[in-house]
Amino acid sequence: MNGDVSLIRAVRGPIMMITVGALFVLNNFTPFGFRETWPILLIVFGLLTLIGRGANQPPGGPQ
Amino acid sequence: MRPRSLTTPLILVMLGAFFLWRNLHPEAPVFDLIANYWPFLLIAWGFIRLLEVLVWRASRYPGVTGGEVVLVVFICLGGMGLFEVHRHGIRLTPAIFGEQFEYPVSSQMPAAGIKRIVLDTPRGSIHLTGGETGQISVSGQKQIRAYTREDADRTNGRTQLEMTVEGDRLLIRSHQDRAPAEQRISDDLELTVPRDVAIEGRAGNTDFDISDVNGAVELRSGRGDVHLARIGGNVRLDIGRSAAISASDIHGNLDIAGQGSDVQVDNVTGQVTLNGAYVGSLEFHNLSSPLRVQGARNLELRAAAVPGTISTDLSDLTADNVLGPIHLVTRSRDVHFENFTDSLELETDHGDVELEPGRMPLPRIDAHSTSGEIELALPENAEFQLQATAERGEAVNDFGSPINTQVEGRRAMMTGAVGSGPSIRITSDRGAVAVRKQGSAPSVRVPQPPRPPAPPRPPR
Repeated sequence: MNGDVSLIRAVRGPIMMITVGALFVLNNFTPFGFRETWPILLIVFGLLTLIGRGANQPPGGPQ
Repeated sequence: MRPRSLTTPLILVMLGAFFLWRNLHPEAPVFDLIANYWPFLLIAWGFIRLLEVLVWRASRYPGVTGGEVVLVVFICLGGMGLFEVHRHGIRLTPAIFGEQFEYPVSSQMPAAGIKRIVLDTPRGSIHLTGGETGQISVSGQKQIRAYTREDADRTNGRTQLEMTVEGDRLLIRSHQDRAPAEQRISDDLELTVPRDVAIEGRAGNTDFDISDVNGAVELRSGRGDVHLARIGGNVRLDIGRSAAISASDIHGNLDIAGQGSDVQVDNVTGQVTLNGAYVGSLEFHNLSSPLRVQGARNLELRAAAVPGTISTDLSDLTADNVLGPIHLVTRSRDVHFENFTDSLELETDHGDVELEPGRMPLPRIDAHSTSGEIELALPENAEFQLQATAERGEAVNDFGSPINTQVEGRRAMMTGAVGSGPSIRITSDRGAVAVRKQGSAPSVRVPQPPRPPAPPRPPR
């Protein structure tokens, strides 16, 4: 279990980096500016944290 | 042992490859490419880190370090800056790199049948003079900033000055748009044309100097200065941003629109309209038809004619010898008006006002100042009906008994009639009002109301 948690923590940084890059690609090449799309960063970060928490908890529920 | 990240050596390799490319192909628009494609660097970096994490899964790979986060933030800020610069059409590459090459420009043609000359020179300067000639001649210089002489030669070949006749119009084009994006090109042209033509100019960043033309002049440009002298027809200027505009001896109407700094207008027979925010000094001298200044938040001025002078900057407005009806609205200027006729409507927020109509019969006056003193100097034999109010200030009267002074609390009022003249109303919300005889020093010094101390600024 602990291995999964540290893996998810470790991929969080790179995935955020890719998301930031993708949002700026949208900003430069499509009409969707960073000014409109930045909340996606919050959503992605939130989802990753959520997955991390989910992996942390044993199937029986919180103890 | 913890595996070391691959990103540092990869970034070194990419930097090296980038500079090698730039050195081998200096003409490539490298900065333009970076401005658009830099986000892919972040994506690639993210993927490398992701792969590293998955490959070295067993050995507890640490996440993104603080240093990397800082670097990513800097890349984002720099990239956004570059992109904005690029989007607004500012080309970084040619302004910084390359060398300037110059080429002579020369062309001539007979002017028979030509009534209108259209100039299409996006960048540079144009000096045009009318004269007793049957020829249209163009001479001057073209500057091309490029990396090599071959590149500049090629561009010069492609951007030869073209003179095309369309009916009674002559189109003079410099074809600067045919130059590649990474080169910068500008033309400085001198033209001699027959006096009776009309001139039309379309430009991006061009200075115009036009004189001795009897036709109309119409100039449109994004940025540049304009100097006009001895123009027979109507003049219309639409200049996005200018540092100096001057026009003298114009026999038609003069219309100026845009934004800028200094404007100087002398000897105009037709109407003069200035529309836009001009923050430098404005001077109007000897205008025989109505003047209209509008479009700026802090100045609105209309007068029937200006045989004398009106000059103003951001802090003062002085006028001498102006024909009314006059309408003036300003925000914070000290106003000094002398020798004016018919009527004056004046409204100012901050600033002292001095009015000296000078001539008989007196003009009708309606002046209001929110904060500032109003002083009126009238000829000794003047006839008028006065209503002067200082809501919070003193009232000073030099005309004696026909005028009645009342003080109620902080408010002072003067009312009364001397003979049967026009109505004069002056009102100051905060500041003194004074009526004195012209040529004499004020009998009572008008004290400035003490200014309240400025409230302390809230801490930021």
